[in-house]
Amino acid sequence: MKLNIFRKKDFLGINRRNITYLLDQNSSLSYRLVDDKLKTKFLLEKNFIPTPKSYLTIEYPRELANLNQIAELKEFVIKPASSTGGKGIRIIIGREENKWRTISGDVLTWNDIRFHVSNTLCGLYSLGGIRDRAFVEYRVRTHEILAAVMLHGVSDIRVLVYRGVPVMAMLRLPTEKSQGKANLHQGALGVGVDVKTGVTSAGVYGDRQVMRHPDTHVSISGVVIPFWQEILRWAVKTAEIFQLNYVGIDFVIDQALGPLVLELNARPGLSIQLANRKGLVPLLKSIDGKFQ
Amino acid sequence: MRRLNTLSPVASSDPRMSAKLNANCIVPILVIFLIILFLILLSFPIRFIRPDGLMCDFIMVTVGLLAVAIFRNVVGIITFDVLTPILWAFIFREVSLLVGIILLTVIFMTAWILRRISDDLKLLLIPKIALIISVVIGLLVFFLVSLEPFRNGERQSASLIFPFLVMLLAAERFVFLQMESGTKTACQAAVGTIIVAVAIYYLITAESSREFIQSFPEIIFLLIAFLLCLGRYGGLRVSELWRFRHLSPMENKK
Repeated sequence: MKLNIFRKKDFLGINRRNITYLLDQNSSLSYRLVDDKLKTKFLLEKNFIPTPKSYLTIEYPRELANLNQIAELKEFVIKPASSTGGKGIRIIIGREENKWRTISGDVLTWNDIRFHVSNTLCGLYSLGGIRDRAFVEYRVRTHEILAAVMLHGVSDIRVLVYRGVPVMAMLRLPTEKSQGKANLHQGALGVGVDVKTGVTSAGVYGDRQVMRHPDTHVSISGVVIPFWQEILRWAVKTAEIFQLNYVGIDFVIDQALGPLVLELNARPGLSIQLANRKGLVPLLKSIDGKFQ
Repeated sequence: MRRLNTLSPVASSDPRMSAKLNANCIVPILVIFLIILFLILLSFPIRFIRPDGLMCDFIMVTVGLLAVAIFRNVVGIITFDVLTPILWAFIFREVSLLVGIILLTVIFMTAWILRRISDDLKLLLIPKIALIISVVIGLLVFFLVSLEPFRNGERQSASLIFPFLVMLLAAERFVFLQMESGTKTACQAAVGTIIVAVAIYYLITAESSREFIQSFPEIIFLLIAFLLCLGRYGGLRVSELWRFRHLSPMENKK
């Protein structure tokens, strides 16, 4: 691969993203909706957009007792309402007697779960350490086609929508290193997806460009993502409802329920360019051109 | 596709289109012009009084702020908050560069080890942070007391409270960041802050820069104008050039 450092005009950097696409295009009111996963979920449900069902919300420490309501469940996910980068998410996949098994292989007791939730309420995982809420939701089982590529965890699909047009998409696969999470910063694998057809191309893992999954060594290119047209339709509709001109929408594909909107990201990262091996700037410019 | 009507369309701030002089670039130019006007007006009273050490230091903080903004937005080094590198630079000036860096490293390592230990105790967040910092203080006090016989009776504890408070603040930031975003990010931020602080340290201790500020204290307005320009800087950061190094722009052509 050629080392070409100084000709990078096509690539969108953080500065340009913040100035031209976030400050100038997105309204600050929408951020508050998107930064709080519970508010996002409420608005999605109101507009009949499929999203994982939430079982229980905990806002105050005295409500910790309500956790007993989910003690009988075998599978659930605990999430902070306003964490970033997949922090503070516990995915419970099984129960044996009084132990709960998480997706990364840890075994939790009921006290561990309570401690985790009370830490969340204190704001351990939120931006700037302010008070937060926790909620428990349906655990998504990744669709067979995607599950065949990876080991365990939940893979998600990020669709970047600019002014109502899906611009770029990326499939994020969890790895051993990311402990079942689909966040590139935590070591997940990002795979470029052709927006028109939903076929994957090549991936980026950490700093390297790869063609195979680092753990399973299954080829990651040429995978046809199921329900692709449906995903694009929901992505455009979601962007319109949240009135965001530049937004990343994260989808999961459930074995039983099909594509679900997991969350929205009003400050989508730039590694989608690495996964797709092309810069965003010309694409965004061409969409701007359509509006002039 | 239907356009999102609720948001007003904003002119692109593409450098290639700036020849048109759209609203996006008129405003900063106008503001800079006003600031220069201010500069000229306000410089008259300043000209008659030669600024002393304190005023000089204040202007040095502005220089430091500009340096932090450049390091973060143009180079792409992660730091703790915006002011932390400047505070550290001033501490390095108080206790010398080597001692400062060693002290910070020791405090960070202690905080890290204590956090690892206290993870098993399952404590709530705020008491845990307070506990970690208290233990760090305890160790510091023990260390200072044990040094007492070798210091020939001269006590300067009062002047040392400021540097130590700043270092404890740094320990707090470090532990918080470590719990929020992981050890790797926290260490990156710590190293980044030390790099920026060392750069600012050399900037504020250099005799020439001190003399320059004493002669031209109005430079602060120029710095503000420069910060305003930096606020609309949309180019790639040096770190991003490195991040996208394997991608060539040719692949983008259809």
